[in-house]
Amino acid sequence: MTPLLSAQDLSVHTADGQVLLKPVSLQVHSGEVVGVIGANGAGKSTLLKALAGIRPVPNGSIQLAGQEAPTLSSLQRAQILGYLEQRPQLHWPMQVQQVVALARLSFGDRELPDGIAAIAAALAATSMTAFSQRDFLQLSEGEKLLVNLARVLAGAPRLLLADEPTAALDPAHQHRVMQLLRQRAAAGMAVLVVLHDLTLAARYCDRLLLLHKGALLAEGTPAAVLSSANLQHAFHIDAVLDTASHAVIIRTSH
Amino acid sequence: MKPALLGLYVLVAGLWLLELASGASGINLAAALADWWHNTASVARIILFEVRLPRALLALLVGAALASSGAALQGLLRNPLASPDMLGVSQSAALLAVCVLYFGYSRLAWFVLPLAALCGAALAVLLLLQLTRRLASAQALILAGIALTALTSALTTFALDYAPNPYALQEVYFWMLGSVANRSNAEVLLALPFFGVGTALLLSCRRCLDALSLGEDTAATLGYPLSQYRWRLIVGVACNVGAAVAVSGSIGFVGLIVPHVLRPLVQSQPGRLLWWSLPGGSVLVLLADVLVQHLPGTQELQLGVLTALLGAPFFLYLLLKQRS
Repeated sequence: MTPLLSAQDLSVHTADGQVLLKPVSLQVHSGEVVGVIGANGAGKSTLLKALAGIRPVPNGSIQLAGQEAPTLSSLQRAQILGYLEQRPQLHWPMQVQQVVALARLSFGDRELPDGIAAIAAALAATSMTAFSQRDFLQLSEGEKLLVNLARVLAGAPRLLLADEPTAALDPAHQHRVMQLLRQRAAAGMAVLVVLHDLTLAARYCDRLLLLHKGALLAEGTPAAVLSSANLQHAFHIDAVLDTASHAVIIRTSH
Repeated sequence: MKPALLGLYVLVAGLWLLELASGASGINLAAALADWWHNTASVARIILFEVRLPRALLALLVGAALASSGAALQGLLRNPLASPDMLGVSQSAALLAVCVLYFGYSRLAWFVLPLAALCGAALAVLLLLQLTRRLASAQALILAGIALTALTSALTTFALDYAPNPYALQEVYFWMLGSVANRSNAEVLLALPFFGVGTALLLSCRRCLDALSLGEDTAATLGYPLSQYRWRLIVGVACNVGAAVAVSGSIGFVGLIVPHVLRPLVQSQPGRLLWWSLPGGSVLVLLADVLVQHLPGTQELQLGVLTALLGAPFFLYLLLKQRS
């Protein structure tokens, strides 16, 4: 089966030559939730931005839904790929509904029945319908994140790239968001999600990519990637994965 | 069309007629129109078609051009304090217009004057875009705009001082404050193509401006990377501001006040704000120009003085609101 996202030897460096991401190859298939984990500064957000087309990729190639990414127009790319950024920003006071409606820009149907239905469904899926008339800027950080998740979902992307979607949420909302991503994956979406919470990564991801200092240290099932040796190497913690509860238990840290 | 937008257009039409009816010499509009219809030469006809019509048309067009440029700049820089005159864009346009006008280059071709003003505006927007990347806060960008305004205004005065022009002081007054009085139909025709191209370019970017509300990165993933629209926006603003300045000097605060007043009515959607700013700008400039003609005084007040009297306190209010 053709992966929805495929990248070969992707590397990123700054204008002055500092390497941010060493060559990484990966694939994400429809129905999969793949987690990207690693310590701060490991290159997780850089990887997602490169895959989303935000950061120029001087080396390597990316295919989206079987097509070379550079051959796709910006609007075609937007209809395949949804990107949820780490710190959503909004420069004007706008109603939640209008923020979510921005996902339909590439379809040009914000005020047409299809677009309106997609916006309503996304708000309902994130339980933000009651907030639809509220000013986005007046919401809490967690609520803003849920609105932005609704905005991404309203674009009905086939591939979702989410950069720490649970960072500002309480535990109940963290699980709700991850369950939502799993539901979308079950419906055929491919999800690549950056996570700091290793327990969430172990519980909800099919596969994990462990980045360390801009390079791919390990890739595979959560049980394989979250080994004590890898955790020690990448995070400098003495920890173990309890496979029964999917919890990463930290014994000591340095 | 929304009733409020329709109301704005009705207001534009009403004020435009009021502008046509306003003037130092009292003429019978119906008689002037009848003379025009019967192709009869008369003073009333000349005043209506050669004096008042170009003034009313320029007030309409300059207002729309400046307000839409303000709305576009605010969306592009994601800064509610941005406007062509606050950031020195109008003054940069005036500087280059003055240079070609007073050193004789404007006689080379009809389009040299507006083209020079356009280049001045475009250079200023480019400089501001570079500064936006380096200056983190909205206030810092405004300070940079104030510096650019002071520099270009000083250079304009300097250029006029050295120009072979006995009325330099009066001209400084015109270029710094702006006016649509004593213009001719030739000036309307000079600016019209630039207004047309500029407004069309800006309107073609309205979805990009909507997407930019979420920042450049997210806008790119929504299918609207700024890199594809940046030049369209710069040239659009430059065409509108350049043409407006070339025929009316730099009329201040229109690009700041109008988008701000209208923003709540369009729920802050930058693309929609662009549409609404067109009639909104016309309303403000027409209203101000009608007022300057009716205010008591021996000499008619410059249009830019009135917009500054309205705009400067408004700007201070916005600055305080931003800080809180």
